[in-house]
Amino acid sequence: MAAQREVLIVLIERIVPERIRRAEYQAEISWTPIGKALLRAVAGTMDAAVA
Amino acid sequence: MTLPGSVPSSGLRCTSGVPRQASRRYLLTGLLYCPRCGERMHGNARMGRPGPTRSRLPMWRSSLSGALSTDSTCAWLAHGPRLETVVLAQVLPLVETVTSTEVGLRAALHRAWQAIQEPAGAATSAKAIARLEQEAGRARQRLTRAAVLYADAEIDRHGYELLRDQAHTDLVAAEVELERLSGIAPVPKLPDLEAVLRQAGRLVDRFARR
Repeated sequence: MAAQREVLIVLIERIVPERIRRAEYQAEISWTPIGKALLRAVAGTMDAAVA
Repeated sequence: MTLPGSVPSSGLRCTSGVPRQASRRYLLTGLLYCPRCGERMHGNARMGRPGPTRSRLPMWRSSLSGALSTDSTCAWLAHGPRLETVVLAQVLPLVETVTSTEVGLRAALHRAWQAIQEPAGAATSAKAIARLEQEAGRARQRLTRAAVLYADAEIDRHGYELLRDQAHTDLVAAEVELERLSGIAPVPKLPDLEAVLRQAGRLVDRFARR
């Protein structure tokens, strides 16, 4: 558990859940700079694959 | 469905003030904020409906009351495992992608990681800043030199004003450009990608074993 949390903390700064209906949720995730960088990097690799 | 890292039977509840993560028993502790009151959430056990199937449900709870406050309440509750499922559904695809061992993808990821830290024009901007700082320095020296020449009567007032105005114009131009360049977003400092990937891989490995 601690190891998993460490990974999430590296990637995620803040999560705000929202209940969309009974017992169903969505989550607004604020990423850390590293999380954002990974998202951008993955997006970059996808763009490169398409090009 | 039981997800790895799901809230165990004791659950979580929302707290205000300084985050408490001492127990480290819950996957999202310290990360969840209540959508209603904005306070941090924490795990808490909650008794299910009375009856033969009554059980302790793991819940994420927002509560401004309880031990922290007596005059306000926020009873926003969320089902622990379901909420964690939603969060992990967003995080795991990213983690699985970045920890892919596919050579081409890994190489592309490294290139993209490098590119983030060296955005186009960053090197050019650094050179421009160095050049402009030199120009500003030279303009200041010329201003000083003009004043000295005038004081020593080596140039007349008209000559002094010409030198001064030209040097001042150059100095202002350099400073304006320096100010513009300094407003450009700084290049992010990121850790070594392999270190990040190793850590991310621990999350994937843990889930894969279950």
